[in-house]
Amino acid sequence: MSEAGGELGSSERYAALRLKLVFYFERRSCNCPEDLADECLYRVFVYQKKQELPTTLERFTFGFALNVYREWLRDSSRFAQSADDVADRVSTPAGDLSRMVAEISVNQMDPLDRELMEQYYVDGRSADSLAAEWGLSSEGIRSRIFRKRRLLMNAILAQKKAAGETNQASGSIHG
Amino acid sequence: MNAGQSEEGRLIRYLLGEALPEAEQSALEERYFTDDLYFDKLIAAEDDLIDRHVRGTLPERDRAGFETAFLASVRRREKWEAQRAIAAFFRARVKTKVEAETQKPVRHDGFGAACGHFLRSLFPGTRFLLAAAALFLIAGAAALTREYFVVRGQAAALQSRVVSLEDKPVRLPAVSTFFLQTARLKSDSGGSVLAISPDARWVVLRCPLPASAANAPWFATQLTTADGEEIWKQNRLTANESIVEIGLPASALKHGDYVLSLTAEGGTRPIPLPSYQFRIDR
Repeated sequence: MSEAGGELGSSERYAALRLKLVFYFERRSCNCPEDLADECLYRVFVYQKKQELPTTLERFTFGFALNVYREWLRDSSRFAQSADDVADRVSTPAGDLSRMVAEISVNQMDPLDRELMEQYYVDGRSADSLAAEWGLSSEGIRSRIFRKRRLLMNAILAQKKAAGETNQASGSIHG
Repeated sequence: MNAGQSEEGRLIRYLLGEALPEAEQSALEERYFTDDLYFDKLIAAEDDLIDRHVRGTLPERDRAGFETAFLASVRRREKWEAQRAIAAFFRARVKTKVEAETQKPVRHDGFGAACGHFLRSLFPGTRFLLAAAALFLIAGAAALTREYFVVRGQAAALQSRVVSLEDKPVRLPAVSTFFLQTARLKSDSGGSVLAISPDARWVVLRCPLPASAANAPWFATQLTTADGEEIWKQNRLTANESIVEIGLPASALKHGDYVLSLTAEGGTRPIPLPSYQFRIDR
C-alpha cells in the first residue's frame, strides 16, 4: 500500500511509482513513456523540495502526470526518444533471447516447475487442466507460472541490460 | 477477449487501448496509482495478455489491438519478446529431449543390460512378482541340482559295486538236475543212476505227472531209502506244465538207492501216484 504523504525514499516505492507512470503514458500512446515518467518524477521531486505535498505521493504524482501528458501533446518533440534508442532496445531477436534464457538459471529451477512450464508452454495446457492433474487450485497454478515467468523475464532483461543492449535504464518488471 | 464489465475485462480493455469513458479511465488510473494491489492486478493482466498472444490463445478481435496499440510500447515489446523467448526455450528443450529419445541409437549392452532396461520399464508390482518367481526358480534349480548330485553319487556307488562284482568270479551254487521217470531211473546223463558232481550243493529232481493227476492243485512228496528210511518230505508242491520239481540239498543224498513217492492232494482224498526209484552215485 502507498504511504500517506512521504517522499520518494525507498527504491521499491520509486520503481513502483515510475512503472505506474509508464503504464499511464503507454495507455495514451506516448512515444516515450519512460522519459515522460522520469520527467514527471523529477518535477515531483523538485516540488517536494520546495513544499510539503498536499496529498499522498501517489495521488499527487497522478495529478502531475496529467500535466506532463498535456505538455507532451502540445510539443512531443521535447520528450521524444531518438529512433536509435528504440531500435537498440527492440532489436534483439527471439533466438538470442532464447539462448539467454538457456544460459540463466532454468536448469536450477525446481524440476516440478520445469515440468509445469513445459506442459504450459509446449503442450498448451490450461491452468485449469494443470490444476486438476497436479491437485492444486487454478489460482495456485497461475500464480506459480506467473512467478516463474517473472523471474525468467527479469533475468532476460537484466542480461540484456548487462550486455549493453539497453541504452537506457528501464527498471525491472515490477510485480 | 470478452471485456465485459468484469474488473479483469476492464483492465484488458485499458491495456489494449480500447476506448473507455473518460471518467472510467481516470478512476481506473487513479486507483492503480493509489492502490498497489490493484496495480499488481494490472501487471498480472498485462502478463496474461502477452502470454495468451505468445501461446496463440488470444481471440482474433483482441489480436489486432494487441499487435498495434499494445506492442507500440517498447517496454511491452521487450516483455513480449522475453515471454516469447521463454516459450521458445521450453519448446526447444522438449523437442531436443524428444529427438534425443527417438534418435538414441540402439545400444547393444548385452543380455544383462537389456534385462536391466526391461525390468526398469516394468511397474514395481510386476518387478516384485518377477523377482519372487526368479527366487522360486533359483531355489528349485538349487534343490534339483542337489538331488542330481545325490543320485549321481548313489549311481556311482552302485556302478562301482557292479564293477567289483563283475571283477570277481561268479560263484553260483552248483546244481545237479535230474529228470525222473516212473519205475526207472533216468538222470540228465541217462540211466537210473544219478551221478551227483562233487561240488554240487543242490539237487533238483523233476518228476513228470501222469495225465490223470495233471489238474491236482498240489502234491506231496516223500523220499525214502530202499530200506524205507525217510530222507525228505515236502507238502504243498505245485506242478508247472505237468512237472513237479523237487529241490533238496545235495548233502541229503548219500550214496545208495532211493524211492521218491508222490501223492496228488487237494481232492476229496489223496491219490498215490507211481513212485520213482533211483540210485545215487557219489
